[in-house]
Amino acid sequence: MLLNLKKLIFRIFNLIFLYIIIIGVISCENVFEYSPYSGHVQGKDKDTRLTNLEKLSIQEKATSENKTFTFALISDSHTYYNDLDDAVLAINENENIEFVIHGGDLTDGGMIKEYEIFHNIVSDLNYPYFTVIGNHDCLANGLGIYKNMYGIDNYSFTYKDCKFIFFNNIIWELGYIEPDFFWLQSELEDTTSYEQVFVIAHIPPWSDQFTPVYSKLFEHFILTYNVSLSIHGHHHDHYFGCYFDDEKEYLVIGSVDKRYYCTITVFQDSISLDRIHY
Amino acid sequence: MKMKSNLIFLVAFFLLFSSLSHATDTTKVVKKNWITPDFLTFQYAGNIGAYIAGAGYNIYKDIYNLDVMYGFTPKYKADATIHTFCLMNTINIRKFKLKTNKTIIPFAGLGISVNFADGEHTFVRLPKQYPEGYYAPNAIRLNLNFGLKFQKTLNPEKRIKAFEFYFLTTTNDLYLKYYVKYRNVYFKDIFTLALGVNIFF
Repeated sequence: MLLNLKKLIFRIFNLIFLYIIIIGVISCENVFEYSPYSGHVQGKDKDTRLTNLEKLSIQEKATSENKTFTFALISDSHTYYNDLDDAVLAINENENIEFVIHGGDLTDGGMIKEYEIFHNIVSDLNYPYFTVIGNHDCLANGLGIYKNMYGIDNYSFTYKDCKFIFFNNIIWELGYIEPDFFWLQSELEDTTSYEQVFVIAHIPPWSDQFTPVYSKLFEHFILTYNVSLSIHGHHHDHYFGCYFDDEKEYLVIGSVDKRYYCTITVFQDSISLDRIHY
Repeated sequence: MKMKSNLIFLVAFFLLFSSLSHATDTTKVVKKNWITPDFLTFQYAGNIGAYIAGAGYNIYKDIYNLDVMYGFTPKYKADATIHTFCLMNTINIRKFKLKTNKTIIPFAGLGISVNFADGEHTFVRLPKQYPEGYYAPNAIRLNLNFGLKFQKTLNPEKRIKAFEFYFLTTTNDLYLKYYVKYRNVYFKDIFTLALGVNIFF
């Protein structure tokens, strides 16, 4: 009887084993994968920013009569996928949102699978979304993946007389190459005609990666030009205030595992910040 | 990096030629030395490279094999050049004999791989520009396989004594972590396919 039981257990094990093989083979979406460190972005995931800018343009035309608008902000999603999923659901329930900004660290290790999971989750947003690159996103072959999936790392767009400048200020992970402050300056030089100007850069200018010189330079740009708010991530904890004791305000968006998203409502001559927990 | 690749190729060639260089006289019984592999492996894909070659050792009674593998992923395959070194432990679970010289063998494998991609963004030891503990090493992966081999044994007096065609489905520790942590990562998202052949001599 014991022998029969052993045979039965063995047969069940073999069946389960064969089942795993069959399921694994027939349900592989990417049949052959060469490496988890691959930098290859699938065609359907490329140039996501372009698609989002087109959606934003359509939305701007559709809501052009109303100059007041609200956008949502999240950051540092890393591999907090369930929380990111919930953030997307929560933001979708808010009908006042017109687009979403992610403050960087879309991934934890810059791996293609992490980028794909992130992309699949945020593709469920009802609104266009825009990202800035984070330090974790530059690990492995992450920088190349980011550029293929989203677009160039430094970019800007305008929306309802406001300007949004996305600046790559990652230093350590990019081999200590100086961030392109010339580009930032050129983007800020023509901001006098805009109602509000937002700079979004993952690393806060007082943070670990910034030398005192870079910190002073960034502070100088924000102070000198018509910047309404400097927006960052990286620290995972929320901060809002005049960090450098001047008139300029800085916002650090908390990570998604903190279970809230920020909203900024832009009025004609002011902005309003809110935190919405979910 | 180039030095390490060259060293691996030299070791691979040494193993290949040392195994092919003796037992050409079929009247003599030649005892293999411990470094000579029992089989060579050639594999396509499987998260340890696009093109993989390995030297395999039968450690225990045709049940437990150890494969020392090198995988190369060229830039046109993955938008990055990746070198992977893998130690794969394989357990042959059971042998189903079809005919005298044909056998089907389900197997499972657990391996450890070290991966090197372009630049310093994939590392075993944290590069000096980071403070201590800033990142965990990200170049090492644990790989898990399940597969089937189709073995055909040949004339034992011939140079090539047997060969096995196999396919396997594979995943790694990172993907398993995503599967466990995230409710919307499914089984099908974390497994991928590989094909290969083992040649026994």
